[in-house]
Amino acid sequence: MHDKDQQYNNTQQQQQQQPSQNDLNSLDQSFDAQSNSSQSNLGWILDSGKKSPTMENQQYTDIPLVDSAAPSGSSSSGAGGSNSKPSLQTISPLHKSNNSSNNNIGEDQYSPPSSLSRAPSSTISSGAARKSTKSSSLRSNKPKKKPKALKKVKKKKYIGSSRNIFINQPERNIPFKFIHNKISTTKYTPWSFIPKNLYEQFRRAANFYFLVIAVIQLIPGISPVNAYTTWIPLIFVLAVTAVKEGIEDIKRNLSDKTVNNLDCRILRNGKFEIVPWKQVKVGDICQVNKGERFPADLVVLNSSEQHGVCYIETSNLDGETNLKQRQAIPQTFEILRSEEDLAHFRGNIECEHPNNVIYVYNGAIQMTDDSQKHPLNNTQTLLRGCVLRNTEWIYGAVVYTGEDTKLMQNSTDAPSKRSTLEKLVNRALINLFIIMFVVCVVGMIVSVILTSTNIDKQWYLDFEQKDVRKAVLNLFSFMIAFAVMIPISLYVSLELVKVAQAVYVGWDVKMYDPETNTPARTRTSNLSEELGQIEYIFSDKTGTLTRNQMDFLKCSVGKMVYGNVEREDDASSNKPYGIAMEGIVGADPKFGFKDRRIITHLDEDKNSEQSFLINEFLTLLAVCHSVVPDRPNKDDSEIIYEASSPDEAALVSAAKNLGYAFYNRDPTGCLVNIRGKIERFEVLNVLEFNSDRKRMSVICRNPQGRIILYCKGADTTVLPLLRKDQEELYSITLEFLQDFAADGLRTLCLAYTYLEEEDYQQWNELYKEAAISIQDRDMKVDKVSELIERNLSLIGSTAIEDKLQEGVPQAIANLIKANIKIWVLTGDKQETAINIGFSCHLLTSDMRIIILNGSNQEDVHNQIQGAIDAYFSDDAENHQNSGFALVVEGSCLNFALEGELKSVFLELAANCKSVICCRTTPLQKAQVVKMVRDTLRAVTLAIGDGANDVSMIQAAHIGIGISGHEGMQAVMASDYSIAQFSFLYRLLVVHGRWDYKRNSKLMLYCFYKNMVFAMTQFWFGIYNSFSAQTMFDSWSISIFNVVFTGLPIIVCAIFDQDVSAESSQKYPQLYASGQKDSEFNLRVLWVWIVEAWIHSVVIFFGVYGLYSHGSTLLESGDTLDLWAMGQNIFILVVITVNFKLAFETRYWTWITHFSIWASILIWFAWVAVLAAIPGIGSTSSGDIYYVAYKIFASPSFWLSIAVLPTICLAPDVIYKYIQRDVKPYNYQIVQEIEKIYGKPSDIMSKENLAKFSKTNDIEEMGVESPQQQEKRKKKRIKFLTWMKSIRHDKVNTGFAFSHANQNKSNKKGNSFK
Amino acid sequence: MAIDKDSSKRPANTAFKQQRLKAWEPILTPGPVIIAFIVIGIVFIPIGAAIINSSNKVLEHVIRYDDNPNCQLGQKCTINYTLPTEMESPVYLYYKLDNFYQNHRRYVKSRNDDQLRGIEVTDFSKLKDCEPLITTDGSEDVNKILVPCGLIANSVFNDSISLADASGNLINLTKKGIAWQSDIDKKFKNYPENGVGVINFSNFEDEDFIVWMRTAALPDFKKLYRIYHGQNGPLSGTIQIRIDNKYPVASFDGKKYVVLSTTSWIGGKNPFLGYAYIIVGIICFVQGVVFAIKHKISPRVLGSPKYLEWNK
Repeated sequence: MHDKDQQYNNTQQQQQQQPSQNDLNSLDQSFDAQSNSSQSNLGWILDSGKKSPTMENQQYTDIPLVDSAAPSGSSSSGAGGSNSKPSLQTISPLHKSNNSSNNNIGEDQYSPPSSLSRAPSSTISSGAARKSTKSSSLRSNKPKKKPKALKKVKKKKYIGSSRNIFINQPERNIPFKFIHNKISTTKYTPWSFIPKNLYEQFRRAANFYFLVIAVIQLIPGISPVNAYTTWIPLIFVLAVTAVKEGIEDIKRNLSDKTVNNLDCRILRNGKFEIVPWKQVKVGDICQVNKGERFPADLVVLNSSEQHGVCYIETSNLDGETNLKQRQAIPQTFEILRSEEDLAHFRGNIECEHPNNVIYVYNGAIQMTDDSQKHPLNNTQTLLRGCVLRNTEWIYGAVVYTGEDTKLMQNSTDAPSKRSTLEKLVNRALINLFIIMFVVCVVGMIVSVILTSTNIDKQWYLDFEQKDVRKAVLNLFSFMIAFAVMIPISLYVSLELVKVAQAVYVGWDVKMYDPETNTPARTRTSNLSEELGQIEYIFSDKTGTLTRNQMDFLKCSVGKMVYGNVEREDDASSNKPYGIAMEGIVGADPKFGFKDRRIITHLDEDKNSEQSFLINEFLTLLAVCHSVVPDRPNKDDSEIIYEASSPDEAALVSAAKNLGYAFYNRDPTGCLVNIRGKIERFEVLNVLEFNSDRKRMSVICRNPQGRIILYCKGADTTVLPLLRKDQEELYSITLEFLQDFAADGLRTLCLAYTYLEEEDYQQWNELYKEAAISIQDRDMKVDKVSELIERNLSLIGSTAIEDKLQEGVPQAIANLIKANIKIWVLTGDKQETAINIGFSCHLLTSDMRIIILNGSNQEDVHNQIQGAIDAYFSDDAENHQNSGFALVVEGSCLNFALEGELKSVFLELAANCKSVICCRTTPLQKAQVVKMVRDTLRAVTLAIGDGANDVSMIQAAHIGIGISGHEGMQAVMASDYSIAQFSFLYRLLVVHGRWDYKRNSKLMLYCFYKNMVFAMTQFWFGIYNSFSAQTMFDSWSISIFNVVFTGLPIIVCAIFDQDVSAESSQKYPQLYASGQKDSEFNLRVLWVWIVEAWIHSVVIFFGVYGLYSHGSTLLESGDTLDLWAMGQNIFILVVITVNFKLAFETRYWTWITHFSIWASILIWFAWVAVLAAIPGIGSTSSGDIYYVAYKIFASPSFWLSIAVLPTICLAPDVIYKYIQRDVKPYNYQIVQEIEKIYGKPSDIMSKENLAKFSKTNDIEEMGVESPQQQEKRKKKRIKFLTWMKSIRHDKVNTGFAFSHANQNKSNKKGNSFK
Repeated sequence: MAIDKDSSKRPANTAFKQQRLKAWEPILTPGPVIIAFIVIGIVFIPIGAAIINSSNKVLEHVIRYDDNPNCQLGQKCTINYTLPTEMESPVYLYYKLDNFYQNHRRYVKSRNDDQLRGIEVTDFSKLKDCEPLITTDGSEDVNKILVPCGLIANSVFNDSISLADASGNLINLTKKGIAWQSDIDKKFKNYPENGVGVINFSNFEDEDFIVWMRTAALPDFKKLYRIYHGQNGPLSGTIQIRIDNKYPVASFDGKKYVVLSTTSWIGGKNPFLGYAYIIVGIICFVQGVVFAIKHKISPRVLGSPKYLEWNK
């Protein structure tokens, strides 16, 4: 009941929020929900701001956060108080009935005064988390195992709530014990390597088990075999892993060394001296020249350019190659002009403790001779790892060094992921341990009984009474004898195989993108088989499905729409729309916006409203942005706009192509070349974009001297801020926006307002106060910004096209065929999302589309329940359609993600083939993934390209980063990186499927072969009164896994292909076996184990038949002994298990041949060598001198190795043959198809993709009957009709769940699938 | 896009790197399977027949004597045994023990190879293998070390067996050659007569001893005792087996036999492998024929897409 109340509160947009609620927990929850919903409503197109999952953990506190230690506490506490306290009391008056969730800014009125006063080493300060600019969210999100993954970075605890740095006064900094600038990214030191590495390795159950066994073996008298039988494999296994780790660590160490010894110029004793990086200290002043890297995190004091401006490239940090502007504050660049100035400069900087939030820096600098503090923020920071560009030199003060730098704070390992298969293996191992233990206990009990009954009888054994008790120790002897049952080499083999598989992923030329010169890359190699088990794909849209190359295609200004009416522009037709922008200097002929009317309207009547609006429109585009102009040719011939988001760049270049070219920036202004004349706009304030606000505003003084505020942002965040008298324009623009969205375009709204000087000055005071505060600054700034961004006048809207990547529709259609459910999580509007869904074939015309867009919990519940009742309940069967699709609004997602709705929502979602979530926030993305992962227990894959996808990528079982245009954050967090979405198809159905099958086989086979080997010894126990005597010599036992049976399975697991890559792609349905875990599960394991038992029985008792009654096996009348029988059995085991593998192998390369035959043959060589060494036979390792020659001389031996493996394997073959004949598996049919018709062509190859896209046909390629063609034509027509209908039918945006008019038409359309 | 060769990260398009190595891709299609089974049948049945045939030609006579009332423990006795057919030389004389666990772990390890090579071993840590029989009384006294030490050497089969013809003339049996030559050469050397310890016997090069020291695989085993090389022609008719019965087996329900056997290329009489071959051969042949008939009557169309699950 309480829950319900609380959720109800949420739905009411938190006006009812009561800070006095007793239950702290529920308060936390509702706070979370609120912050979610506040985001979800914002439909900003640049949806890449990111929210930290740690928000969930943050403590609620209502103490305004003021740094009491700060000397200038009065001002910051004033700001803090004035902003946070009222917010607690504010109850939003702006509350519009039910529909409010979409167009309501009221929720921001209540902002959580959350705490920053956590431990200084805290991962993410919540205040900072709220704010992040477009490009600014390189933040390590640790949805799982947070503390563990972060452990690697040595977090030094600093006392106090902020750090105080004395510049140029090293002695005063000593008490703070700042960390040195020497970094070490290595995992081990030379001393810690062995213990630490061993510790790591023995955390694996199998390794530890073998350690125990090996130690037991050292106890004298217990072991039936020589101690090295366990030690050799154990050491081998440990050594392989240790060497691998060691090499990796040495590499890291070398690169660390190089970095630590790089030179930099540091002010020492009044002069700049060259010192290595490792000697840089906090408080030093440092000079960095053009092209050099910053040795530590610096605050820029001055630069060679005017006004202390400098440019940096941050690609080392976040992969973004565009230049970013940094600028010193006037107070420093004015006085610090030379080395001498610097030498006399004294001051101190107060700032936050080291944290890992890049691009957020809150601090203040105070000169010794100046009582005032001057705020420092991100604009002044130069982070370690970045490179200085376009600037001759800078002076900077070191604020963070070494491990404290943002770079190092962010360099945490991705959360370690283990594949589902590996988890299953652990269960399998437990099964095996149990089997083994039972076997040992049985052996021990029988042994005790036999000893006690025979104690006086078997005089030749000389039993004493104590030997009965000693027989209990046989348990350990058995454990040693049967230790081989646990495949110690399994993990090593698996690791080797996975490394090879990872290498093959990178080698695949079909996953190489020539345009960006990027091959696929594996970053987490131990997940290869997981790729073959994916059930759910969560995909980002922008940059993942689409190219992220933005084309400015349409716009609306006032009540007019401009832009190509038809998207397919016909170059030949000379209609008024088709003319390129002639006569504009610097216009790009390739510019896609070809509507000249906008220029005509601008020029026609200078005094018209339309002309005015167009002017404002273009001015806004040219002024309101954060783009940096770059001139590669050092003159004005070419200007490249470096933007953090492609949308911005597209808008700015659009303005340029329409004659309003953004020319340059100076520290306080913005120069725009308006149709040949350079005008200066004095920029007063920039209210930056972040994912909460989803809009950006610039306050500037235009050349006419008026203060104007330009605002651009998502419709949901801009439209509510309009003046009252804009109703008409509002509704018209809304219609335009829906049209644009229906075309799959990304839209932005533009608005402006004039400000009165006085109002502005008043506001600016507030703003400055907020901006100066050290803690919670972002939130305060946001709040202040809201005060000025109101009463806006609408100018119009823009529509940008983001084209689909090549092959995306085909890939998606095929992935759906592979029974993978695809969820697209996008920040786009519903209409845009649906249209993208259609164009990428996620939605098809014969699907029913269910739309959830309720605005409160009850609505959502009703919608979900209604849909389930209508379509998925027992009474509602026999739908004549090919599936369902679900479209969910981000706001609904909040309700669906929590409490009781979660289960029904999942029930609905699980029944749908594809799901599109619109207007989602990064946090929601991660939540959705987690929900599916944990609740449905499905194997999930998340793919994305931007910082906003990082949390989702890390939450999913497999994260895939698109290494494309939007920086490297996603790639850094991912397990695999590919250059294009369509490669995902090959990665999953070819590599994933193969690797899953291969690795499953490897595990099963490892269990099997060791079981055969161990069980022969058990059967032998029957005939040696369970004394744990072994019949194999210790040397052979110790290399059984490595030499005789190790290589073939590794080779098989690397090279085997059950069907070719082309067939895997042509028949994506084959993929389903991985999803069902059908290749490796406990049932299959037991089948293999039982088979192993049967084989061991055949082998042992076959040889027993040969040796029983002391049979004479040589013509010379000799009888053969224990060791001869052992060797006979040994080779039979080797042959049988290798042949078993041969029958499991389908792809016989020369390597396969070599490995199998060599493994068998090497045994003969091996025993022949052993038999030649007289001293080899010692009492405990087997008396095998000359034995091999005896058995080689025995015809029975040779005859036995022909017949016994046949007995073992013939049933196997018979079963396989009958199974194939009676109920063939799909892959077997495909094998036959390949055998008969040859391998199919690659359906994802360039030529075939081109063929598909021409015919708009992504169904199967193969030969087809005219009937099928007919059907498809019909289907296409239906599809097109549907597309049209949805475009015109605007009503369908508001209904609860819709099976749009397509449903009537698809009664026949589902017949082929 | 012009990417110069050095900076291009395009993976090499080789068969190895693209997983397109030439490969043989066998699948279990009817043709090869049927042929393989029939061929196995055709090959295995004659082999089996040959083995059985050879095994049948081997003459083997197993005579238990420990339950013979005439042969009480500690007595000498003679058993008259009539050979139904004559045995061509060489005839091998074995003793056979039943229910004797020479392969017991306690037993197998209880020997000291150095000592057996005639080396005086006085280091008790090295003698540990011989447990539980290292010294006569279990103390660590060098002079009380058992020579040879260990269970195996101290339980040597000590019945003596000899053969005589019907008329009581001893048949000339050879002892030489019953042990592995390799053992005689490398593993056993006489212990010094005046060596350290309590010397039970020092003649470690005795072939009977060496034969005994090679532990049998299974609890019923036979060990080569003497060879008849046929100086007196084939053995035939009634022969006298003279036994000095000293070795106690009754306590552990053991049985003692004398075995007379000839050999063939396959060794002694053991049709087991022959039957295995014949049975496997027949099963494979029948299976092959059944498959062939099934394939003839209602063949499944290979590679027909209609069998694909999603096409059903």
